[in-house]
Amino acid sequence: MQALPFRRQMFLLLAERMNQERSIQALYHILTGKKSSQTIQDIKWYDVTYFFRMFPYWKETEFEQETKDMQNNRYIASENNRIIITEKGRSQNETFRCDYRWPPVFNGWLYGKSAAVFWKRTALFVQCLSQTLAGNRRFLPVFEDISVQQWLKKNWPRTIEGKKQTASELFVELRDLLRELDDGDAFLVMNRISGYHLTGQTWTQLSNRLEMSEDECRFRFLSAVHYLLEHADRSSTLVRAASGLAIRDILTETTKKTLRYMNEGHGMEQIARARNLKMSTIEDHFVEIASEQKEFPIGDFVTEDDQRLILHYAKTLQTKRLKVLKEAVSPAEHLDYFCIRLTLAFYGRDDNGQA
Amino acid sequence: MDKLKPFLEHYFGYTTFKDGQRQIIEAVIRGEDVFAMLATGSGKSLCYQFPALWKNGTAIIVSPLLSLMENQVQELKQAGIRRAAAYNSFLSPPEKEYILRHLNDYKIVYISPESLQQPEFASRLQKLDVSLLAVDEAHCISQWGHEFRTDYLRIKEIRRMAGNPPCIALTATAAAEARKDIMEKLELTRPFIHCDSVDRPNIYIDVRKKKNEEEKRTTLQDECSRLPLPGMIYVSSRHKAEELAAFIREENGLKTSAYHGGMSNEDRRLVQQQFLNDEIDVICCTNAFGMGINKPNIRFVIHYHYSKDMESFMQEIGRAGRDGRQSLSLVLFDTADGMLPRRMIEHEFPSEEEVRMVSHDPERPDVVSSRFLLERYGLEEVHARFLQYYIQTWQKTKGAEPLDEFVSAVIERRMEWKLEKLKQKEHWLHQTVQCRRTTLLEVFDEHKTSTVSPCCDVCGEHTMHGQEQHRNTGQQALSWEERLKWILHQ
Ligand SMILES: Nc1ncnc2c1ncn2[C@@H]1O[C@H](COP(=O)(O)OP(=O)(O)OP(=O)(O)O)[C@@H](O)[C@H]1O
Ligand SMILES: [Mg+2]
Ligand SMILES: [Zn+2]
Repeated sequence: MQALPFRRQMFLLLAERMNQERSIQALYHILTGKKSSQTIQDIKWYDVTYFFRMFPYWKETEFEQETKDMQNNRYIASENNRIIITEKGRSQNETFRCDYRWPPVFNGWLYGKSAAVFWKRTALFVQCLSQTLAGNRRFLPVFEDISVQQWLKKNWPRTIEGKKQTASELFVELRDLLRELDDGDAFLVMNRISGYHLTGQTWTQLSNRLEMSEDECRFRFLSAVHYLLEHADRSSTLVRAASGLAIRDILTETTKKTLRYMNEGHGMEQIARARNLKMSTIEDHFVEIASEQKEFPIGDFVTEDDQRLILHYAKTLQTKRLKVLKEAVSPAEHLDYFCIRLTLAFYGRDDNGQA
Repeated sequence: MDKLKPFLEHYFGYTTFKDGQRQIIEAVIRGEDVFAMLATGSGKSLCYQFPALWKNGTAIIVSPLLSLMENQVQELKQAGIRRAAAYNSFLSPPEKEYILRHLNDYKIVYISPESLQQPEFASRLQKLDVSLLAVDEAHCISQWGHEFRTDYLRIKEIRRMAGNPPCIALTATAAAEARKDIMEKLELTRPFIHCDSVDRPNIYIDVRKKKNEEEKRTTLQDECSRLPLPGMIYVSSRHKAEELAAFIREENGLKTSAYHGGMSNEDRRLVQQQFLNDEIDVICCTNAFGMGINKPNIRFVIHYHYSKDMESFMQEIGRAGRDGRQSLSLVLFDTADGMLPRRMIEHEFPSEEEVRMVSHDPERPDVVSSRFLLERYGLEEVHARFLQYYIQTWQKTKGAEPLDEFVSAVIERRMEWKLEKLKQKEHWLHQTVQCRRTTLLEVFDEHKTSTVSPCCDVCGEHTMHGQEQHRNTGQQALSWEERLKWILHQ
C-alpha cells in the first residue's frame, strides 16, 4: 500500500472518526482550526480535539482538490453531503497506525493559539541570549512582534552573571526535556531556533534534511512545542514564556456576548432582538455554552425525561446525526433540533460523564 | 568648521564621504529636491539616511521590496540607530497600529508605495512633520509604475498631502528616458541632479549562448564548482528557483536555498539571514530578492533566465562585489528563453476580454475600487489595480473616448515599450563582437572611458577560477544536542 501525503493521511484518520456523520467541509474546519460553535461541538463530541488546528495554513482550494483526489482514488466517498470512509481507506489507516509513532502530545484545541506565542517568546529569548553572550549586539531578531518584545524586556536577565546562569540552566532544562522526545522532533525544535552564527532553518530545508514532508515537519515541530508548553513548569524560563497565556480561550467572542445577556436573565428571543441576530445564531451560541459550562441550566430547556430519551437513542443508534435522532424521538413532538443539539452538547463534555 | 564629518563618524562610523555623497547630502539638507544616479553599491542609502538623522522630523523612505526594507532597517539598527521601522503589509494589525501611533518617534520609516496610499497611513502623514520623502530604487517608477505598481505614480499626491517635503529620488539604473519620467512623476521642482558613472569595473561580464536547457544546467553546475562563493542565481519562476536550489545542492554538494515571493514571511527572513551570515553558498532567487540588498562578498551572479530589460540586469548584477573585489556576472541563455519574458510582459496587463467586460458593464459605478474590480470581475489583483488607476485617469479626461479604447491604447503603448526594452536586452545578449561593458553603458548614455581588465567575454578571459575562497563546510552535521550546546554557549 502506498503512503499518502501526510496531511491527506491525517484527513483520512479524522474521516474515520467522523464516518457518515459530517460533511467533508466540517473536517476542513477542524483541521484548520476554525472557531465556530459547530466545529467546537464537533471536536468535543467526536473526541477529536487533537486534530483541531493541525494544518491552519491548509488552503481551501487545495483542500478541495486533494479531497476530490481522495474520492477519485476511493479512499473516501460522500453521500448526502456526509463523508464515508471506504474499506480501502480503513486499511490505509490501519497500515499507517501500525508504524507511526504519534508524538506524545498534540492538542491544537488546548494549545493551538498559545503555542504560537509561547514559541515566539522562547525562540526570541534563546536567540538574544546566544547573541548577547557572544558579545554580538548586531543581529536581526527572529520575531519583532511588539508584544513579544515587551515580554522579553520584562523577563530579560539584567546582569551578565544572570545571563550566564540562565543560559546554563536553560541548557540543562531544554536538554532534559528534549531528550524525552524522538531525536527527529528534538532536531526540529533546535533547528527552528536561531543563535550566534547559526540561523534557523526553513521548512523546506528541514524537510530536505529529514526527508520528511513539510507538513509532517510542521506537525512534529508543533507537537514538540505543545509538549514543551505542557511541561513548561520544569523550566524557569519556559514557565515564564508560558505565563499569562490562556491555554484555551473557551468561547467565541460573539458567544461571550450572548452569555453576558444570558447571565443578566434575558431570554433567547430578547437576546436575538437586542443583538440584532437571527434566532438560529443565538441557538448556536447556547449550544456552544452548553458544551462548555457545567452550570448551564439545561433543565430550563429540555426536561430530564427528554434528556434521557435523547441520550438513549444517541447511544443505541450509535449516532450523533441530528436527523436520525429527530426521527427516533419524533413521537415527542416538542423535541426539536435545538433540544437535541443542546442535550448532545451538554453531555458531550467529558466532565459530564453521564452520557 | 565642517559639522557633517563628525556627525558621519558618530552615527555611521565612516571617516570620509564617498564620491558624490557630500554634495547630495548638502543639497537635501538645504531642502532642495534631488535626483541622484550612482552605481550600485556606491552608498546611496547614506544620502537619505544622513539627512534623515540630521533634520528634525520623520523621513519617509519609499522602497519597493520587503527584503530590502528589512535589510536596511537591520543595518540601521546594527549601527545603533534604533528609531527606524519598516511599515508593510506583513505586519500584524497591532504592529501596524503601534507604528502609526508612534510615527513621530521614528527618524526613518520605510514603506512600500502601496502601503503609503492606505488611508490610515496617508491620514497620519498630514499631521506628521515629514523631514524628507525619499524614493529609493526610483527606476521602479518608470519600470513598474505604469502597470502593476501604479501606486508609484501617486507618490506625488501623497507628497502634497504631507505638505510638500523635499523629495529625493535615487537609482543606479535609469536610462535617460526613465530619468525624465521619474522627475516628472515625482514632480521634482528644479532638482539638484547628480549623475555618476553606473559602471561596476570589478564585475567581469560574461554571456554564453547554449543549445538547450540541458547545456545550461551543465554549465551552471560547472561554474558553481569552479567559482569562488557565495553566489546568486537568478531565475524567473518560483518553481525554477526551488528546482535549481535542489539541483546544485545535490550535484555540487553546496548549501543552497531558494528565495521567492511564494515563501512564508518567516522563511524568507530566515533564508535572507542565512545568506547574509554566509551560511548559504548559493541562493536561487526570483527578482523578489536582490534589489538594493547589501551583502559585501557576493562573488558571482548568474542569470539562468535573463531579465526583461537592461536596467533590471544592471540592478541584479550590482549585488556582486560590493566589497570591491573581483566578481563575475554570467548570463546563460538558449533560444527558447525568449518565451518567458514575453509571457511575463503579457501577463502584466489585463486581457482585452477583461477590459471590454469592465468597460461595458452598465452597472459599473463611477468610482471603483480595485477591490470591487477584483470581486466583481474576478480580475487578478495587479490587473484590478491597473484598471482602477486607468479608469481614474480616464475620468479626468472627461471620457472623451470610450473607456475600453482608452485603456487598450495605454496597454498597447506600454506593451510596445516593454517589448522594445526586451529586444534591446536580447540584442545585447546575442551580439558577440562589441565589448559588453561598452554596450551596457551605452544604454545609460555613458561612454566607457577607462580600460577595465578583466572586462568581458568579448574583450578576454577572466582569471577567477580555482580561487577557493570560502566554501562552507556546513554546520549541517551538528546534532540537536550539539546545536543546543553551541547556541547556549555551554
Ligand atoms: N561614506 C562611506 N564610507 C564607507 N562605506 C560606505 C560609505 N557610505 C556607504 N558605505 C558602504 O557602501 C555599501 C553600499 O551602500 P548602499 O547599500 O547604500 O549602496 P547603494 O548605492 O544603495 O546600492 P544599490 O544601488 O545596490 O542599492 C554599504 O556597505 C555601506 O556601508
Ligand atoms: Mg540602495
Ligand atoms: Zn569588454
